[in-house]
Amino acid sequence: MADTPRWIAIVDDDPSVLNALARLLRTRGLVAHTFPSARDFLAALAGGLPECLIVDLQMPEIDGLELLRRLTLSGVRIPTIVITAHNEADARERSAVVGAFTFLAKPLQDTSLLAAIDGARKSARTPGCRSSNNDDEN
Amino acid sequence: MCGSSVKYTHLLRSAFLLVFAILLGAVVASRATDAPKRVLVLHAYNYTFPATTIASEAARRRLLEGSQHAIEIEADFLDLARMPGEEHATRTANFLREKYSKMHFDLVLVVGTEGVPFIIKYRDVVGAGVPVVFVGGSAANYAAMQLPPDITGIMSGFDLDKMLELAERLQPNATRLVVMGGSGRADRGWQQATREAIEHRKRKFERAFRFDLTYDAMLAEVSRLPSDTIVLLLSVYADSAGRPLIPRDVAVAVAKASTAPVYAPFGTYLGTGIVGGYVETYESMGIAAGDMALEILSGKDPATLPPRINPGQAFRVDATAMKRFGLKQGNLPPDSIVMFREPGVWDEHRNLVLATLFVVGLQSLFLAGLLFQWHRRRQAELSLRESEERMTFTAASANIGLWQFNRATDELWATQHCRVLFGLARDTPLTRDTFLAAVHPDDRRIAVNALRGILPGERPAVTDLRVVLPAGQERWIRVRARAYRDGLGTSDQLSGIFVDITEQKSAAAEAELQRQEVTHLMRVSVLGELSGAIAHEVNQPLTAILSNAQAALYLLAQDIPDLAQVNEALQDIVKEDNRAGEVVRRLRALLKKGEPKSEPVNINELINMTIALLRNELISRRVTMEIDLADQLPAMTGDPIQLQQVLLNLIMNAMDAMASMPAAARCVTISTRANRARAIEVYVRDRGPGLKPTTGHKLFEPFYTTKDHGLGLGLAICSTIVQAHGGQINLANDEAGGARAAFWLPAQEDLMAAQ
Repeated sequence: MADTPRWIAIVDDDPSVLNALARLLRTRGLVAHTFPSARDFLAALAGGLPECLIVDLQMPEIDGLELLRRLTLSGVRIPTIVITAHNEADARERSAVVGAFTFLAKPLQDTSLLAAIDGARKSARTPGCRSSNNDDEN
Repeated sequence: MCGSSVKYTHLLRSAFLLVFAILLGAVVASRATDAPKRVLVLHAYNYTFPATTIASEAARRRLLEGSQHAIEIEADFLDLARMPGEEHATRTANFLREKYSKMHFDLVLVVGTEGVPFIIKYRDVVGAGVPVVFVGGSAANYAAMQLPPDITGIMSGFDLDKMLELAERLQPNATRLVVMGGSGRADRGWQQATREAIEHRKRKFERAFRFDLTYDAMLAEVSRLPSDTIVLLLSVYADSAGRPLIPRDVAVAVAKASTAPVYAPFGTYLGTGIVGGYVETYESMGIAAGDMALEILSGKDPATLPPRINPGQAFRVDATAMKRFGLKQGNLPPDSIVMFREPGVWDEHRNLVLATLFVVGLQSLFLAGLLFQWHRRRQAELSLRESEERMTFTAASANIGLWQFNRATDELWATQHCRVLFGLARDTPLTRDTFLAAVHPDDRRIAVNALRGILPGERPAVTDLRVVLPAGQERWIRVRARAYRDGLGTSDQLSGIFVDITEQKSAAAEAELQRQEVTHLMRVSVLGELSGAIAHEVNQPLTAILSNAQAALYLLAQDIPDLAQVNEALQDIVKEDNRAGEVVRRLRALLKKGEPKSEPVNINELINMTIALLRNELISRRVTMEIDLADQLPAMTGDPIQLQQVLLNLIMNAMDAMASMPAAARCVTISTRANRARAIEVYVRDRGPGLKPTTGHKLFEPFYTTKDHGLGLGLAICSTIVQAHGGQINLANDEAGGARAAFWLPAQEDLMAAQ
């Protein structure tokens, strides 16, 4: 288990955001893998799970919440940070409902992001983190 | 003879004394009471009724000439004949109350019979407690009315008996008598009185009463009468079909059509072609009413002045009409007044004059000729002046100024009302230069050029100018001018009118401004709906910028900074900054208020820009977009912002239409193509449920909406914008299902032709 590579997944349909976030994490010595869509990320899961997932709320086809729902349904638990540029009033609640670890609004302050990643990684090592039983689709 | 001249001298002397006393009194009075006397003139009908117009104008002149106070006159048309019914009367009374709520009147002058019951009924509302003088109507009209003591006036002394006497004298051999009249309320009052008058005559006729004909039937009837018939024409305010008519106009038509002489008891009918009657002129009515009003204004209690019959009646006949029917002037009753003598009269008496010429000699002839000329000129001058005054007054009441101008001599004649329109002081001379000085400096050149450029025979030139009033505010004046050749063959003589069009101008400007405002507001509200999506569009590049910057800062803080990495981060920041700037620029363009522009437009580019704005909205609503743009579109010009608004609206509508469809089915297709008629076509299709058959064209009407939260302005504005670009928009169900919005815009033809 100690040799499990520790990496962070970033899923965002905007390539500029994807690159910038990856660059920011790399400068801090974190390993970041980027995926331009939820489908790409799901396809890569067979190779191993990330320690933490940073996912954009709004994406074409499968959005961030839908991705979380699918992961939960398949019994895969990855502590997830939902980020969004579209700061709707209910986005935070909706993220919590589907079991996101935390929710951050874009643009992201490096300190908040790093703190969130830190928190997410710790929660992964603590078994029995919260789950959701309420599927509130609109 | 001698006695009467003594009497005249005496009268003259007392008249002088009276005038002197009035003048003296006027001086004293004007010191005592400087406040002007206000008179409200209520015309029972409208300005097209000559009787009331002539009478009120005469009364007005009399009042202004005879009053020792300054007189201010307000006037309104009650229009009771053409707008019958209580509703109109009540509305008019309320209007007058509102209009004059801040004004006190000293006298109300009611002109025209039907005005009297109106003023009695609405006395509490219009001119409460103010004495009323009326003009018009006969004693019979007022007998049943029970006039209050402070309502008095001048009544017509219509004398049907004397009218019949005239007809009998002029047509001694006539055996048939046709009486014709209208079916209006005022018309019916004449029927019984006329029947009775005919009964009382000794001479008996074969009679026909025609009070129930349509206008056309009246004309048909009189056109087939034997010439030895007597036709009596009464008032015709309405025919049997209820069509409102102007009695004098009816008289003109009846007299023209009639094959037999026509007589009437009304002065207004004189000059229409009827032979005549025992009548008064309406001018004399007005003068008598003016005199009565003056008495009341100078303090006399109206209760002591009972209604009077106008004293100015006489046998009046039309020489031209008599000649037409071969009626002999020798048969006229004594003291008849023969009007409208033609120059032809001279021919009639030529032999007599020639004989006299031999007897009296050349000098007498010369004298006679001079006298005749003088008389004719005086008559012509009088009638010219009268018609000029009448025209001027009518024009002034319509807020129109009349003018004539000679381009060669700069001589200008203008009515006094032009002063009012141009805000010229009472003592400013009316010259070309004083008028030009009042024109807005920016418009003076236009004014001068306009007058210079008019050619004779052309349609009147119309120029709108701004006039700056002394208080500084602006007024729009429309100048209509026409040139005509004078006697010398030059075309320097111009004539025309000034009309105040400030209200129209400001209404038009207001409407345009409001249209722009609404269009802008709709854009803002559409963008408001998109605010989340727009925030996303700006936040994405900001996110990249911030993360790159923070990464770079961290790298630089290291002992050995990786400058290549820093460089990359900075490059990305520049790129993302431009991207954010582009979004803001696009938004600002859409949010900008302004007048419509006309510039080259690439419709495909506009579509791409619009989709870029909508990108996030499409994602969050799970709508896919198919784009099929034609490569070679013809050039066109237009307002890119407005056209983008049309696209924005249509795409948003398409998205709204599919809200209830499963996500996989939500697809908007947008396509362009050039059609052979040199037009650019744009289609926006959705895969929603389509249009209900009933909605149809209503969709383009303002405030029609099928949405819960819609204002119903989107498509109305789209339609306005597309039409302003010379194109058309329509909405229909697509054969493939869903709705299809299509609009076409004309290509720029000049450009195409030049290529």
